[in-house]
Amino acid sequence: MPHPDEGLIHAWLDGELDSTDAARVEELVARDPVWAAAAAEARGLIAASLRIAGALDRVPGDVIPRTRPKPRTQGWWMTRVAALLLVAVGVATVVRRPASKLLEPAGVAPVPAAPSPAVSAAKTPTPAMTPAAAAGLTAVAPPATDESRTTAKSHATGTSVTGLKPSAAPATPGLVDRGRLDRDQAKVTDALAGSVRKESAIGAAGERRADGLSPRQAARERTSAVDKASGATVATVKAEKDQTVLQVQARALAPVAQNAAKAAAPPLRCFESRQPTDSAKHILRLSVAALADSVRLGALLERGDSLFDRSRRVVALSVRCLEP
Amino acid sequence: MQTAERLFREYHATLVRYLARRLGDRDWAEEVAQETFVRALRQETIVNERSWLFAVANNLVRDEARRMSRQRRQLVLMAEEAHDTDEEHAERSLELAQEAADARHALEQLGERDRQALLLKEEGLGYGEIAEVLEIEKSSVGTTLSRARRKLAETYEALQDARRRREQHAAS
Repeated sequence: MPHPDEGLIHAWLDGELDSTDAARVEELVARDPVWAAAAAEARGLIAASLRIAGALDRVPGDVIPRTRPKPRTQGWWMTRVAALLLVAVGVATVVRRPASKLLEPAGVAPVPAAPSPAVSAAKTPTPAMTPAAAAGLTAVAPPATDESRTTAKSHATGTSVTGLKPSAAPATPGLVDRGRLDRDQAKVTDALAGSVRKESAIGAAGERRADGLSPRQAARERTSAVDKASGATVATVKAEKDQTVLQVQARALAPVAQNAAKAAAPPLRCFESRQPTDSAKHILRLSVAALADSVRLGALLERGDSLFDRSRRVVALSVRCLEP
Repeated sequence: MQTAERLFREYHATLVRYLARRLGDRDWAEEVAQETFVRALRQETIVNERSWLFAVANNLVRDEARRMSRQRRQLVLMAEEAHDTDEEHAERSLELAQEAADARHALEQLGERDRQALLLKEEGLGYGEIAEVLEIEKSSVGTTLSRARRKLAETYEALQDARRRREQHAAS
């Protein structure tokens, strides 16, 4: 009788032997007590292994700490800060300038930069205007009706308005084309409303501490208020359509201009850039809202008169904002 | 896509269990299994799916497991100590945790090839597949398994005996 082959017995019990070998081992186990004992032991080991392996399933999670991501390169924060500053300064500059130019009070000499034709027509009477038309600039608009508001709104947004009654006022010779002025007025109104919306969104974050609203809620409320103001304004256009076109324009612009004037100057903070140290210094103009968001998100840290990055290095010093 | 779904459905559970038993960390096992299936999707042709998947999973964990074995043992011990000190833990749960810890220790006493062969067999792989995964002769799988099973059982029993003796000593 051969000595029991433990590997052969395990293979037999695992069903891995071909029929010939399996029959041979089966015969040995049946006839030889040593082979029978080895087979019994092998059965016990297989059962024990199964049970022990089953106990391995009660394993905890997160035993091994995950591999931490590689630290970002130092230039990464610079890219983020630069992008943030660029966006903030760009938005503040682009949005603010047209609004301030549009909202100059009557009587102030227009700036050399060419304003839009519609605004020029609204602010300064052209030689072709009649004195009555020019005087209408300061007229007070009567309250608008719902019907007129609805009609005027579609008019202001540029959609065609059917059934619009022709002007009851006698046509003034030499007066600017009414249809063109209507379109221009609608453009101006839309532009102003858009400007006010943008300014409102920018300023909302800065105001959230005062009114307790979240930035999104504040922006929504501001936008809603602007929409109402714009609606009332353009409703005036419809209600006053029997008067001269210039009167309508003046009334349309007045309340929107008031709202825009409030929002046209978002609170700004100015910083003198210190990074990189060997570069020419320049002034960064940040809206308070954008700065607050950056501080809240941890991209920047403001302490005293200094602005730090994440690695606690000074990137800019607070300075007084001067007129651009 | 159908192939991916079928592979996942057929082999994901068993692959994760195998890896969890081998690594002692279910989350890690899940990650390795996912990476294995990602690689399977990139593979154009797979002759034997099961052995291919297990072989790739083995390759994925081999180097990292070797590198982190010391840290893992230490952390497992710490986890056990924290587990043992949890007074609110039920007695049965503690017993199960101790069994798991003993099983883990016993498994780690095996050689790498023996451990893999044993765990692969527990997942239902045949001798041919185990030989393919471990790149060994099929005829040596039986011997490898018998050696692994014996050592596992004996080490586990020794650990259990030692634990019982400690408990008796503490009780007396």
